[in-house]
Amino acid sequence: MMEQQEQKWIAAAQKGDQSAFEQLVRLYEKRVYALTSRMCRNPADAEEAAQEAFLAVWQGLPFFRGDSSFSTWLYRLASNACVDVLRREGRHQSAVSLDNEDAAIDFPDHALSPHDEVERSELRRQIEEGLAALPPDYRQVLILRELHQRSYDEIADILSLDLGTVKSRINRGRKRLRKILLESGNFSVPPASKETEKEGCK
Amino acid sequence: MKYCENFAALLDPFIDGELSPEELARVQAHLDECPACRSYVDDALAIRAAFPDAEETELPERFAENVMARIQAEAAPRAAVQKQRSRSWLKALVSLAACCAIVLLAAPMFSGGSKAEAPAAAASTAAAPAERAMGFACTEGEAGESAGEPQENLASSKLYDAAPASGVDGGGEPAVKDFSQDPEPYAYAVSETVYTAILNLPSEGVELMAAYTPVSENDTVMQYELTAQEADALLVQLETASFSYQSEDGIAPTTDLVLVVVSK
Repeated sequence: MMEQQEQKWIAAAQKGDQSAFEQLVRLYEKRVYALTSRMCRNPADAEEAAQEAFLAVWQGLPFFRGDSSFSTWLYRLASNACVDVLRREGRHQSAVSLDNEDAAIDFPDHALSPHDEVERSELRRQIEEGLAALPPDYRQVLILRELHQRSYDEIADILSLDLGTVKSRINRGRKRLRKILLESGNFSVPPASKETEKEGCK
Repeated sequence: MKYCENFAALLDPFIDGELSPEELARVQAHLDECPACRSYVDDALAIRAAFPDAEETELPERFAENVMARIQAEAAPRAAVQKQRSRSWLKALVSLAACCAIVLLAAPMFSGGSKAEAPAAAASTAAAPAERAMGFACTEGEAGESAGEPQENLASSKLYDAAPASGVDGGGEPAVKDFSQDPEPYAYAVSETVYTAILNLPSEGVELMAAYTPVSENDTVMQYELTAQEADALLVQLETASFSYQSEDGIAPTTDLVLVVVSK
């Protein structure tokens, strides 16, 4: 039912209905900001990129033919907006080796209050730090996969990558993130019961 | 060792539900007997379980309101331009009608006056040169009115005369005048269609026009007919295009049509 409502908003917004477009902004704002806030270096850049993404959607709506889903298109524009913002400020991270200081981004803490959530909350905090320490290309695919639940095909579509590159980045990003979490003591050291572990599955 | 290496490439697709049923069964069987691979999968699933949730994202204050304010701020000056151009458009139509009248009245004189059907000839056999002359004469007149005005930013966009724009024979002279010399909107007749602006793109622009069907095509150009709203969206896309371009500020009334000419 929500999908039908979304389609109605999209159709109305394509005809210039700003109130319908505002509904789309509200529907997707958290998901878009969840991406830009982790791809940009500070909240101001993240907000700018998210705003730019929605502006680009508004301006491109007359051309939107639905070849990809609306969300795929939106995430693509959000990813592009992050790159644009970073490039504009000469701070694109691709070539930058991130150390812990760089990774210390002042974003709101998502700590959960219930006592039984403390452990998970601690792991989440470590994941946030680990994500921030990953190269952007790896961070991006992991966020699209884990936070936005996009399939490999959809990620390839959003980022204009081939499927093999998506698989490779997810594999490498996940391994790096896991390594960070292992080193921080969040995960127990994996069993070394088989020699295979050292070779293929580390 | 080799055995596990073979499975390493399947573990992430397993975690992400991207395996075929046969591969899934193979990996599950392997996990039952390989603690190391099992550990990787367990950790990945633990990461997933604790991964940040989009719905818990704390937004900047008044995020949606700020987005909408930016949209409205960008729309306001455009609407003002459109209103202004709307009036100019009426003026242009009046000029166009006057030109038509002159052409129709003058045609019998140029045809020697010996044929009784001279006016009809102006509208049929002499139609192409007549239209060409009309387009040229009208725009020349407008250029005269606006002489001395500051140049607009469409220096490379040119007003085509009727022959190439009609796309029928493609044999006419391409550029009649430059947009930069006339900030007024253009009334321009092509095969009975009146366009208010003509936008020229280099050959790279053809990708941006992929969603449209050309209204005509010849050896050198492809021509597309866009509504003002579509043309506005095209201009937005052109802002991020890799090739050089220049755009008109506000294509104007929503009822207008824009001719896009893409070089081959």
